[in-house]
Amino acid sequence: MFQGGYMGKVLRVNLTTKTVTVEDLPEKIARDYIGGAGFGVKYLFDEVPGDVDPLGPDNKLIFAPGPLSGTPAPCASRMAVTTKSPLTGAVGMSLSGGYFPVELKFAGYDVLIIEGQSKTPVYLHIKDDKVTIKNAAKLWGMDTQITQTIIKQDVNDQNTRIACIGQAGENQSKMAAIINERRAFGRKGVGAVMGSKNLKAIAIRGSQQVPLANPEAFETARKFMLGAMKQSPVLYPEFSKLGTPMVVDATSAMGIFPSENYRNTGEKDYSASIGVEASISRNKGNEHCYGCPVGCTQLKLAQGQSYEGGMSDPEYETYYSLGSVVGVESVDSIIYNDMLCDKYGLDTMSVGVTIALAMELFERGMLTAADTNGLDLRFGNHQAVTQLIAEIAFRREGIGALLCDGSRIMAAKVGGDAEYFAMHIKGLELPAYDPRGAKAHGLNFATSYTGADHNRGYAFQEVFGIPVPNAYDRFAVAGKGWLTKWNQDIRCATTDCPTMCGFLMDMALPAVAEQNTADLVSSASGIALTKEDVGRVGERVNNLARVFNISAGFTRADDTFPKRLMEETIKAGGSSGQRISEADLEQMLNEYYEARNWSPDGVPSREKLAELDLPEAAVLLAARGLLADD
Amino acid sequence: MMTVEITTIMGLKALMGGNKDQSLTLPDGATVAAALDQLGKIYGPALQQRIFNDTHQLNPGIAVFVNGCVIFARLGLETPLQDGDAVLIFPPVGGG
Ligand code: SF4
Repeated sequence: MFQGGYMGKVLRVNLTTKTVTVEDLPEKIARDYIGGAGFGVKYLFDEVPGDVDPLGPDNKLIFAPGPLSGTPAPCASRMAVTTKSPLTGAVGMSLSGGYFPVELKFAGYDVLIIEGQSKTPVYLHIKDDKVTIKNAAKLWGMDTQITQTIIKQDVNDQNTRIACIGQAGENQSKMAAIINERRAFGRKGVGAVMGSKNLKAIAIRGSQQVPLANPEAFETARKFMLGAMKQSPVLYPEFSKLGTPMVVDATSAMGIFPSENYRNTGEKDYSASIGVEASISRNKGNEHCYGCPVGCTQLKLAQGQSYEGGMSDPEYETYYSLGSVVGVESVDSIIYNDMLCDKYGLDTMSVGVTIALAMELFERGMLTAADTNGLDLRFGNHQAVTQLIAEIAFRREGIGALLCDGSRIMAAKVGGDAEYFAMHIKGLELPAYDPRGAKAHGLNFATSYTGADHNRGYAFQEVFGIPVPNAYDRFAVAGKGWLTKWNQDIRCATTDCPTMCGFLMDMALPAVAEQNTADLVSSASGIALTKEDVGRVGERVNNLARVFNISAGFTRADDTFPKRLMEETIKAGGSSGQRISEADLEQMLNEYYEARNWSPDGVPSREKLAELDLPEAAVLLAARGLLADD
Repeated sequence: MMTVEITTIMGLKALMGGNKDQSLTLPDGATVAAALDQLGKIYGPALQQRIFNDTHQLNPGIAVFVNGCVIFARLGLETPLQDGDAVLIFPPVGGG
């Protein structure tokens, strides 16, 4: 029995058999994995074989908030969804915020596991212990916003919280997202997995409270965190007023804001047209996640003939993916196209980078008007971007079908040299930082268990110059293996598992994140965790995910960068002259594997797995003859 | 004498007369501290107070990069400058 933090229950829904079961959450899993991504990776590893078809009935979707979600801890309404990604073939883990995450806790559950495959469209309705699989035939074909409106009417409750897929998920685009309110479990094609299960939505309403094991100690920890947030040099007022779009100005000045499919990063200053000054002129207010005093989400209304009326909340990454990387300098088109992606349920990042590949191939004559349904795909054509988003969402014949499964599959279909221009790692499109000018940030993309994912080990030391635990030269190669391990483990342990918003950790608590997590989780749950225990959780999850990926067929050769970044040098701007040579990559990878106590092939050692109490991972590797020190 | 190229963004840009980029002439061998002091003289106390605390250390969240490298990884405010160096000064920034 848990004293608090956890509700103690795992809800399992099988869509093939239409059965619903409730299991106890084992205390050992809570202690060893905390929650969120930790629970996701653990259940995925235990229940889904690495070689499973991501879009088949044996893949699962594991939704998990954390022990702090639904408590008065600030900024803890976050939830991880974990699955085998159809886009990458690796662990697919995506986090969202908003109000949906806490509602699962209020309904009495720490984990929701969806398995099997329904023959017809359904949606799941969870009202405390009343769990119903409902017919969703009439919802099929609807976008994510209308779906949420109709379900609220259907269940006769405007306060029901909903996560759903749009047309992109229904059509199993490997870039499909799961949308809750205006927020998203955006990346790695998690929406396609939901679509493959014929699951249109999950609607939740709960009436319970999340108990606290030690309210007094919890209040002390909470006050400490709120105090640190107030003292943060950047949370108030900058971040709460400007949100993530301000990073466009920072990375542009550093020369790492990628443009035009990375062919000319640093050559044109996009901050002049789509930087924070331009985007703030469209602000109409901000939104908060549940229990967040910051409210960084900036709602923007587009202006001008083509896009007026478009309203959305593009984040930093979207100014890149629907802006600079496709050569677009119009904030209005970014706002509008972001709205379209949310509506259809698409990951703006993968979509933009895949369109950028199409544009580069078009300009090089490797795609012609006959391939693009007549669209002029030159960089900067924002109307074409608008058109392509719909083509992708509906998997329309021709260009839609060519692009809708992401850049890796598109490049393979086009053939020739197309892969050279495809900006992905392990199939996941790159985020808005050119790795050549921020090497540890880049090494994280190369080694993260989810592919090119900035959030799994954000190198704030390089991007914002924060000297925690030490200061680093962003161009240097030496030391970046160790730093990447540190960033990945701490991110995982202090944000992805307890499920806290990562922004706060970087901006308010970078030096004390593990202690803060230990204090909050211990006092909420009654499970005594030290900061060292918390650190080990991060390491444990990263190792277990690595072993899952090995069982899915990944090797050292997949921990790499797109060829373009290793052959071409940044020619202008704040990172002029930078590239990542083969030797740089080798040096960083060797150091990273050594820091992790993995073999030179990138396989965790028996010693490391024993230290982290992961016998199941050792058994899997040994059975395949892969255990490094056998 | 030598010339360094100063770049800044957002709130600091507003405190430096709206100039994102500007050249600054300094005596040979000047340090980052000297460059920031000189900017403080040009643009006044509002900029000085935004950059420095009472003990003349950088305020929390202010980061300075010389030719791309954050000064905390070199000699901090005592990092020497050379003719033609690119100095990037960040106000507190985060997210992304
Ligand atoms: S800082 Fe932003 S993303 Fe984080 S919890 Fe608050 S509103 Fe949500």
